[in-house]
This record gives sequence, C-alpha cells and structure tokens, in this order.
Amino acid sequence: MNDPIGATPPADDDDPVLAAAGARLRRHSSPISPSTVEAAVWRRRTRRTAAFAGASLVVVALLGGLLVRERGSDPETEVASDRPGAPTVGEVEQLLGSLDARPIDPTKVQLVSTVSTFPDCDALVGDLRRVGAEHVGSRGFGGFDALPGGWKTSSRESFGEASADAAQLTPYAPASTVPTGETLGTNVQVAGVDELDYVKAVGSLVFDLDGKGNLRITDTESLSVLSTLDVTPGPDQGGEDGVMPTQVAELLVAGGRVAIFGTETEVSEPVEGDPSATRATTSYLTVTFVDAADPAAPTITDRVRVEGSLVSARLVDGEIRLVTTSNMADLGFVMPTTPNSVEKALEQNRRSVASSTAPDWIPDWQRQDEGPQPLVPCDRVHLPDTFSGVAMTSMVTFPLGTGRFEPAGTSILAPATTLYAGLDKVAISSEVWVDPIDRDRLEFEDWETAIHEFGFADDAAPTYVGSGIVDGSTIGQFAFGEVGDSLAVVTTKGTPWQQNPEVGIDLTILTPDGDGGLAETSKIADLSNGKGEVTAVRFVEGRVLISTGFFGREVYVIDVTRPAEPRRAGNLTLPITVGYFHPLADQQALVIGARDDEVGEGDDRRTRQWVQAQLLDVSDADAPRTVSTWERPWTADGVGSDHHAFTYWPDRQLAMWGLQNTQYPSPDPGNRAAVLRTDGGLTEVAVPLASQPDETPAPCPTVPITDPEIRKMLGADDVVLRCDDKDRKEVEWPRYGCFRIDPGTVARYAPGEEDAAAFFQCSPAPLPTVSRVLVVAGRPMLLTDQTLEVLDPETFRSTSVTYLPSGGRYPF
Amino acid sequence: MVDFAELVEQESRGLVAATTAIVGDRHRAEEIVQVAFERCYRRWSRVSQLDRPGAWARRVAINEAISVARRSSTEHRAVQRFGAMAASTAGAAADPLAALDDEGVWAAVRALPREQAAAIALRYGADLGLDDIADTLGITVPAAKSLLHRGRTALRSSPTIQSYAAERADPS
Repeated sequence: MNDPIGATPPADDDDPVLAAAGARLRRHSSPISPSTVEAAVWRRRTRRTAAFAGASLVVVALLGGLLVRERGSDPETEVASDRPGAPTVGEVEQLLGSLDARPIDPTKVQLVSTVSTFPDCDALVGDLRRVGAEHVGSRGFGGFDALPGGWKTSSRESFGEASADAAQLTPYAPASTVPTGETLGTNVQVAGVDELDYVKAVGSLVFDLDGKGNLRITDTESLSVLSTLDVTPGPDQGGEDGVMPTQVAELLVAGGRVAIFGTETEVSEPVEGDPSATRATTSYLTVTFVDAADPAAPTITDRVRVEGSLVSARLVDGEIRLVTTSNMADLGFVMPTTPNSVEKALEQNRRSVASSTAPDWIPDWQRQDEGPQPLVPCDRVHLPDTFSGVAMTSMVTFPLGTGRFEPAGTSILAPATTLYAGLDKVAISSEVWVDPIDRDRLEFEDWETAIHEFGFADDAAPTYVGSGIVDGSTIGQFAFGEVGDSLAVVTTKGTPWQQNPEVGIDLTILTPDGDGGLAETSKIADLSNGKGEVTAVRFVEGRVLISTGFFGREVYVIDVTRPAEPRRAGNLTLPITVGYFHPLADQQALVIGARDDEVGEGDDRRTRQWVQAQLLDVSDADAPRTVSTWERPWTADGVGSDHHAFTYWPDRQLAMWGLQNTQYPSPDPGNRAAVLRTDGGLTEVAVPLASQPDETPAPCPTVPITDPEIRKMLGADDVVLRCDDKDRKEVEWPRYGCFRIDPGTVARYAPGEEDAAAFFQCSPAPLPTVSRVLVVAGRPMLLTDQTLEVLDPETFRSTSVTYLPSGGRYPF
Repeated sequence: MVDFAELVEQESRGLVAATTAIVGDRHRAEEIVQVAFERCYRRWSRVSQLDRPGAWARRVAINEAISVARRSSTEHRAVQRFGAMAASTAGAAADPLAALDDEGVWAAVRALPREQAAAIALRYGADLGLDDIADTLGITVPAAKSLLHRGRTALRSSPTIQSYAAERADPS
C-alpha cells in the first residue's frame, strides 16, 4: 500500500476507491417510496382543495344548504349553467370556498419548468377552473393588450413587427443555390422556412395583396395584372354599421396554392334602452385558401375564422405551421366601478371562471355556415405547472396543398411572449403572469422566464418537447436561435417591462433532455459587461453576433463552435446603430445600420442621416474586424424593423434593399435602392432610382375651379375630377392620390350635382418608395407603394415600369 | 410494461446516491429524485412506452442535480472543502484518492467538469453499467467510457491530491 505516486492507476472498469465510496454512499441513501411519489403528485393537484377541509367546508356546507333550501335542488347534481360540460353548483361553490380572500400574489410564485397534460376535457377544465379562479382578479385577467408581447392585433404593422423581430435571430442559413434566371423568395429567418409577407414571387409571377382586400397576381413577363380576387368575405359579413371590415394582411404561396391571413372583428349589437352598453369587440384570425393553378382565374377553395389572433405562420415543405393566441374573452368578466364594488367583482369573476367549460378555454375554428370546432383536443393542451397567464397559445399544422383548413394542433396555456420558429421546432417563452396594473407596484427578485419547446414532424400534430427556465426575460423576438441541436436564448436581467439600459445579458443554451425537460447545458452570464439593451442578434456559422449598448454600436462575438461550451470572444465598436445582421459565407456578415451628423450653420443646421453597411469578418472570433464599409448620406431604410425589405442574391453576391431620401428640398429627388456586391469587400453596383408610373390622362373629366374659396381649400397642384357614376367610391390615377369629396361639400359649391355624379379631389402622389427588391425570373425588380419596375440585371437601369398601387404600403 | 412502483423501487436508491454525489447534500438529493419521479408519474402514459423508462427518470434527476449544483456554486465550495479534507486526512495510499475519506472523494468528484462528474456519479454512486450511463446522459457508450476515463484521470491528477500525496510520500 505504500507504492510511490505515479503507480499504475486502477484499470478502467475497476476503481476500488470510487467503487467502495459508491457502495457506502448507496448504503446510506434512502430509497424513495412509490406511494410517497403518488401522494405528492396528488397533493400538488389538490393542494388547494385539500386545504379548505376546515373552515371553507363549513362555508360550502352552509352555501350548499342554503341553495338546497332556496332552490329545492341538490347542488351535487344541479349544473351551474345549461352549457354542456358545466360543473355542478356544488362544485362551483366548493371551488369558490377553497380560495383565499385575495388572488395569488405573483411575487410569491416560483416558476417551474414542468407542464401537465390531462386525459380528457373534464380533467383539463377541472384544473383550469381551479388555477384560473386562484389568479383571477377583480378586473378579470387584466389588460390583455398590455401583456408583455401578448397577443397582437393582426394588422399589417404588427405582422411586420413580429416577423421582423423574429428574423433578427437567424441561424446561419447556407447560401442556397439559386441559378440566375430563377426567382428569389422572401428573405427569411431560417433557410427552408418561408415567412409571411404581403408579396411573394413564384416563377415569373408576383402575388401580392393590394391593401384593399384583393389578391393580385401579376405576370412579370408581360408586366400585366392577370387577376384581382377579393379575398375578404362579402359585404354582408362586415363593413356595415361601425363593424370593422375584414382585413387581409399577409400570405404564403406554394404549388399554385395561396393561403392568406387576415383579421375579422365582430362587434356586439347595441343594447336597446341601455345607453351605457359598450360596443364590445372581439377579433378572429381568418385564413383564406386560394387555388391559383390558373393565375388568370384564381378561386377561393376554403375560408375559416379561428378564435384568437395570429402570432406567426411559416411554410415548410408545403405544410403551414400556424401559431395563434387566444384570450378568455368569452368568459364575460366584470370590472369594478367603485372601491366598494371590488369585492363583488372579484367574487363574480371567480364565479365565471369556476363555472367555465372547455369551449371557454380551448380556441375554436369555424368554416362559414358550419358549427365551431375545437382547434386542439383537450388531451393535447399543456398546462405549465406555474400559471403563466390566460392566453392559450396554439401551434397548428395543415397542408397547403389540399386547399382546405384541416388543422392538427397542440396548445399551451401561456402567452407566447416570444416565438422562435425553426425548421423542425417552435419555442415560446412565458413568464409568471402579472396584471399589468400591478407591474409598477410589485417588485420581483430573480425574475425568470420559462421556455417551452415544441417539435414538428411530417403529417402529425406538433409535439411538446420540453420546458426550461432561464434567468431574466427574453428580449422581444430577438431572443432565440439554434446552436447545434440546442436552443440558444438571449435574456436580460429583470422583468420585461423594466427599462434599464445597464442590465446584464445572458446567453443560455438549452438542450432537450429526451422527454420533459430543457436542460441548461451551458451559459454565458453578463456577456455585455452590464451594458444590456440588445438591438440585434444573429447566428452566423459558429458565431452569435449581438449588438448592444445604448446606441447599439457594441458588437459582441460569441463563439459557439462547440455548442456545449460557448464562449465570449472578441468585440468591436461600430460607428453605426446596428439594425440588421445578414449572414454571408465564410463567416462574414453584412451589417446594416444608421448614423447621423450635423450639417449647415445657424438656422440651416440640420441632422443628416446616413445608411451604412459594413462587411464584418468573424472567422477569427477573438478578432472580429470590418472588411469594408459603404454608406450614403440623406437616406434611411426599413431593414432594421423589417428584414423582408432586404434581399440577398447569393449567386451574384448582391445585397439589395430600398433607401428613402431624407433630404428636403433635395437636389436629387426620388427614392432609390442600394445594390452592393459582397465578394470579399463592399462595392456599390448601382443605386437605382424608383421611377414614377407613366403619366396617363385623368380617368374622369377634370372640373375647372374658378371659385377662389374652393381654390384655397385645395392644394396648389390638386385637381378635381367629376365621374358620371355617382356610386363610384374610388379612382386610381397614376401619379395622383384621389379621395371622394363628400356629397355635402359638393352640394354646397355645386347644388344639384351631388346626386348626379361623384367628385374626387386628386393630389400629386409622393415619389414612389421601394418596399421590396425582388428577383423574378432572373430579373431584379423594385416593388414600391405605386409601381412594379423591372431593372436590367447587369446595369440595374430601369427597363419598364407598371402602375401597381397598394393602399397603405409604405415601408418606412 | 414496467410498473411505476417497480421502477421507483429499482432505481431510487442508486439515483439518490448518484444525485448526492453531484449536489453534496443528501436531503436535497432525495428531493430532486422525488420530483423526478413525480414528473415521471404525471407522464407515465408516455414514459412507460419508452424502451428504458428508468433512463428517463435518471436523466431528469441528473439534469436537475447538475443545474442545482451549478446554481449553488457547489463546485467552488467543493474545491475548497476538498482542499481542507485532503490537508486533514491522515494515512498514505498508492492511489491518491484513497488518502481521502468518502466526503473528500465526492467533493473531488464535484470539482470535475459536470459531464464527468455525472458519469462518475452514475457509475459509482448508482452502480450503473456503461449502457445505462450512456442512455441517461444521452451519449454513446464510447463517449460515456471516455468521460469516465477522463474523470478518473482528472481526479488523480488533481494538484491538490498530488501535493497531499507527495507530502505523504516524503514527509520531510
């Protein structure tokens, strides 16, 4: 036993010291009893119900007794409402009696990463009633709209925002081979995962939504509109009596099929004799399917509305993956109007939750003229074991090719504050639910966020993969990316509603542990040295680029070559606020950002904006460097907030996006696009000007204006048109924007004419602004708010332009 | 199909031992294993369909143990504690590890990189074979073998143990 140090260590499979220590450890370890486990699970489920065995049982008995006496019926059998699946009166009272006087204090809630599922709707709703009743307050579940990143109204703006944010976190997308002559798709977050946009180029066709509820298909060979199809329901479905009409915002296209996503708002009928009744509204997501196999004669094959609103949708291999959130709007919460009514309102809201049924919680969908159907079955609804709010986030897949809505879905009761959608996974983050009204009042230590991951496989409903907990809160939709098989999450310390520019940022890597958990496999804490405030994040082959700091000028490089051991490598300070990172080959990235300076003297002193692009080389993670810089004065762009505005042409190594002229008056008026070559440096290939549409005669006769009073009311260059069709609502006239003059005004200046014709005031339109640079059948094109313009592929000079107006499509 | 109670009875003692080795606190370890089995129970319809339900429960427990150990900075404390153990333990040995008492051994294990610590804890604490270790950690058998080998080598080449053992070999 006295061998010198360095003697042969024990053989691989035989380590007597460790083996003996292990044996002693086992001997001293107590086994767990299965019955203890079962009892603990049961206790957790029923901890509230079990706790009220004392005093509250008396309350229940009293209430029950009263009810029996008053109604002469049995609370154990009498149901609380006539809806199917409603609980009995006894069950409702029992639940209400078990509740504490106050709703659960969110600062005391410890977030856990586990979720539960239930075998059937009864079990699910039983749990939901209990958890919901514990948390509901005197104002229901609070101001839904203010939930951190909660459901959004599905306006075009919010679509743009959501997808733009999501896209910032783009895993390295290897440059796909797109031969010249073919058509480039939308600039996306993950290669192979198409994203929603209002325009799609397929073959030689451009599909877009014209801002007026129409799907428009344009042939770029002849530069003519082949068809315009109204994809909103008929006028009887909306638009009357203050009801907001259906809006269609974005689309996905594959194999001659189009899916169009929009919103429809339902407003309650006025209550006769009740002047205080408000016109309550609720909105639905609409999905419209169009068969465009014949682009000249597209037809609507299906149209459904889904309870809730759109978070995002993606198209992968002909299958649509839709993520929606829906709230508990149908429960009918009340709000206290005076301090004295707070208790009553709390009681009423608790009662509403305690008597809820499955349809109150499970979102449904409905085809016109058919009954509603649940979007997901009860056994695929996941409940986080910590209440994260009342939004039900549903992940639904359906094939686009069938032309019909045939959903397979999975839900989780958590607001999707952040969504990441990769090729085969979707991750959402959720937090402990805090009523927005309490946010400034309550203080939280060690705020945490739960991350729930869902997987997608062919021809099946999405599956729950697991959940994990990260410190802090996720930063909008910038927060996620994939590193190897793991999920990388960027978080800032503190609650999401805190504004602290000097908070720390963590990068946490979560890996599914096989079933049920996302294990934190590695983490870089405080990677920005307390400088917080991420402005953009992007995953570039083996690297994560993060721009931080008050002006977003600090770029940190995280080396994730070894996913298990990410490390903070080099950093550099750029002269611009970073808006967007685009990954390129050879571990390079294009950075698009903005800076400004002051020019002129005295009263002429003005701020001059610049758009700047930098080519970064991050192949040496420890020494990131700028290879080349390009910039242009008096310009602004929209790439930072909408990555779809950027197009990369891999075969020709060209980066292209729209620029808006910010100088007024300008010696060089008009808006342009940037076309830069990125072959090792940055070279300006062209900055093509967006042409105005060709001038055409006025669509209706112009009216000479001689009355000085009217002349004064009109702009200097405005003209008035008189169209014989008195029911005409609008006119389109290239280079002009026209709106109808109301008949009252017409009657005042031209009595009698108001019933004879429609009058329009037309003002010169602003110069077209490039919203998208498309590559269709090998030809670059500028899509603006007014035109589609074809450019020469070599010189990028204009070859032809057509008038293609889009209501409200301004990119900036 | 394996029975839940059977699974708990088979696995829990070894798992508590392995978890104790990682977190260094028996009560905390029991709690972690208990919670792992609770999760297992709630998902029993799915877990019971797996080839090795035991590996699922072990993985949940070991992941949580690693996470707890990291959160409480156990590694740092373990290194300090281990240093103290090594300095105060009497007796010389051919194998420097043998110079330590059990607590010292596990403190040294906790000071290892966490994958190595988990592999050592499962091998010697839970008395598992390579197949089961690989299953639990979600790695291949050769990778598990390599983790164990690296762990053992690291334990014996620890400067603290080396210097302690050298002192023992040459008391002057």
